[in-house]
Amino acid sequence: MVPVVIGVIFVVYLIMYLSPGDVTATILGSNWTPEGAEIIRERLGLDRSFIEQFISYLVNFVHGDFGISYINSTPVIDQLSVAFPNTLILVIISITLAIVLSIPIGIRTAVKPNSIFSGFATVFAMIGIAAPGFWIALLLVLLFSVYLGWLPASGMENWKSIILPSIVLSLSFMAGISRMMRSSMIESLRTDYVRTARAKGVKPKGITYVHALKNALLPTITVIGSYTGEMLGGAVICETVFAIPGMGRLMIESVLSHDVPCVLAAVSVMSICVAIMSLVADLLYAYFDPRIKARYMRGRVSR
Amino acid sequence: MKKCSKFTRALALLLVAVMSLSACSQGGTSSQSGTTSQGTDADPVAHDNDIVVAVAADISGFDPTALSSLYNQTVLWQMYDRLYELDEEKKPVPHLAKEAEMVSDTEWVISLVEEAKFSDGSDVTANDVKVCLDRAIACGLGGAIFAPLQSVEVVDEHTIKINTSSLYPQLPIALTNLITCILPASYIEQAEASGDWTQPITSGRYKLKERVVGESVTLIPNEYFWDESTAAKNDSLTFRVVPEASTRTIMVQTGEADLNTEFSTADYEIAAADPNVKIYEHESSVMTFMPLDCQTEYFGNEKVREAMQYAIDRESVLLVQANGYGTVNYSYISPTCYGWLDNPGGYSYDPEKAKELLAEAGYADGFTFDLYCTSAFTPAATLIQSNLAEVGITANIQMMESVDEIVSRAVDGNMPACITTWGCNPDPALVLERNIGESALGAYNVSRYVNEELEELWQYGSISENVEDRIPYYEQWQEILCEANPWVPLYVGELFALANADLQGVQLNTEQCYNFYDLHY
Repeated sequence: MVPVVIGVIFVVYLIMYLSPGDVTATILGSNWTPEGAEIIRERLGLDRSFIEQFISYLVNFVHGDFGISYINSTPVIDQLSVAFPNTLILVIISITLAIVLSIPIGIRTAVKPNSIFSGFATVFAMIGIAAPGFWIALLLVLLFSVYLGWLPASGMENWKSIILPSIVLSLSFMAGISRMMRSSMIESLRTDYVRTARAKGVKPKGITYVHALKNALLPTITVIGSYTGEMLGGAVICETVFAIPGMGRLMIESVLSHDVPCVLAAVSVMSICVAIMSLVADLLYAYFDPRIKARYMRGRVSR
Repeated sequence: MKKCSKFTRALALLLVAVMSLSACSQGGTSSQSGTTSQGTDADPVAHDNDIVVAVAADISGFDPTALSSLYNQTVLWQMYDRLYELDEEKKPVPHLAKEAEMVSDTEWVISLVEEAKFSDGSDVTANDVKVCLDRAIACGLGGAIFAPLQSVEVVDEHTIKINTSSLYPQLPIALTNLITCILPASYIEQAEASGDWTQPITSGRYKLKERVVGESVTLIPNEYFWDESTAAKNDSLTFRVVPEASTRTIMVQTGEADLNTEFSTADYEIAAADPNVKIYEHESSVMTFMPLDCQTEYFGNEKVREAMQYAIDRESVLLVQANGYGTVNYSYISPTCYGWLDNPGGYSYDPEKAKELLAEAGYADGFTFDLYCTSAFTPAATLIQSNLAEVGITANIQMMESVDEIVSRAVDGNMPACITTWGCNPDPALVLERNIGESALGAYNVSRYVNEELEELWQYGSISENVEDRIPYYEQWQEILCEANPWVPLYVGELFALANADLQGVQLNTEQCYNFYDLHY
């Protein structure tokens, strides 16, 4: 995990270093002069070589010092402490909603592939994947906030304000997860061990939930793991439409204003989260598939 | 009838539960402003006086001389006072300055309001004013506005003397500028040394309660504010960052925000049909124009610059960029300025004439240049690109992140043309020399144009204290510029705001320097 995070930081640092634009113009604004820009570069250490700057940043990062925002002159950690919890809450609720609804839908459509419900689910999945998130968000806001007046249109002040962003964020992932669940479930239901179980007289529910589901869950877990990482960084549209100060918005605004410390901190935190999610997914593999666990155990014993 | 399966029933139950939960929240969609989001006329709506203003972006800090963004201005305007304020007729009226006397052509003695206090309870003194004005003169934003100012002296605890290099009748207007905001000298010294401006001590009607970076700034009334007649009528002002224009509109409609001063005209019809909100419109002083770098090969040619005036369809630019709300402009100041002339060059959209002029200039086959702008001007840039293509000119659009970045490129001579805006001060003497004068080279003179005749004539902008006496010179400046064509003036937009229909005290002004102390229910 550590090499991954260092690698990510290095790549992002390099991209920010090579990208066009002058941070001194952003900081000094209308007060920009060549002399003033030189002073700022010296103060921020931008007059040093790339390697020196990168090592200095990395050392500070390891010590928990994310630096000071170029734009707001406030510690980056303060901005992260506002943005990260908001995004984390949003992602946890969204992914939970997506899992709770999409897995049963996926199972159901796999077990009864030609039913009306399956048709509806397919259409729903297509809409979820194809419709732009901001459009769905605005439609839902118009319906539930403006016309019905049931839910707030913005912010993260209370539980009600999380409902619409969570639905919007989970919608496309719900579609993806349910489709993945459906296809892997159909595949599982066609395997030999399911046919054997059926021949042995196991009840249909037992076949679906005991024998087929466990195996069908493995690819779905992989998808959920990658979606969670994607959600952490990809919630920017949701955060923009619903005026939620989260990680996605922080990162976009920081990139646009060349606020390198903020960009690096945001990317680093997200890459750590993605790495953790990959680890969790790997552990869940072992839990759902004893063969994987046994393979690890065998490796340990043979050593 | 086929019996529903357990799964279908469970799903239906879940949907009903979600709908019920949502319905339970009906009427309780209370915002920070305490308003509710019922969309009917009949329901009485209770409002409190915690006013929420939806803004598109966060401020960058609390130093009034640091950055010139509209967002900084909107918030800082409420927090800090200046010596003068502009009245509704755009005339400067004393504010922190009790009295001002021109003791000679180059000396102003200004006495301060003795009761004035900062938000920490300390007195506003002449030394505080001197330190702040010295900073304003020194900062880049001051530019030509403060060029005639030579020094500021402290006469006594509540009196200052300002020395100017020549007659400077625009001084009171210049002293309404945001960069002349008054802060305690001791605080400035401390903040400059530490670089920490996060706990500002204010002289205005409000003081800082809380700032959540990227989310909101909350101000509460300054209990030491000296002028009871203009003290805050609300309990707090919260500026909430809402980047998405439609969301800002919806927030006012639902009552989550009370005011949106950056209302997008794309939502005009929806908002106009909603009885719970009210649209405010006002003429603007912000002109959109296209400076041409007159030191480049192509735009150094007068015929080419003239051809540009004919090649661009300003009406269409206004339509695509501002949904048609505004006025096409052919002059170098906005119609809100003293002495504005309507199309002194007699230009119109005439591609054939543009082609003729290009041929006369030796560019019958056109040429290629880079057109810089921020993403906000994508529609205008695209239209101008196609207009110019019609006359054989290829404009490659280059997107920049900020106007400041464009200015810094222009200083280095790396910006052949750009699309930008300028909020005009009512007095052209504070606008034109600052943008096209020799003294502005290396700063705001992005067209790098210097006209010797104008350099002689700038001085007449301060020939008399009486505006009427100066207007003929302002007209002459415009005529000269419309012949030389260092810019392509495009249009002057309109200002819009959307507010809760019950909100009182909403006042827009041409300078977009809005006072929010009067907002209340």
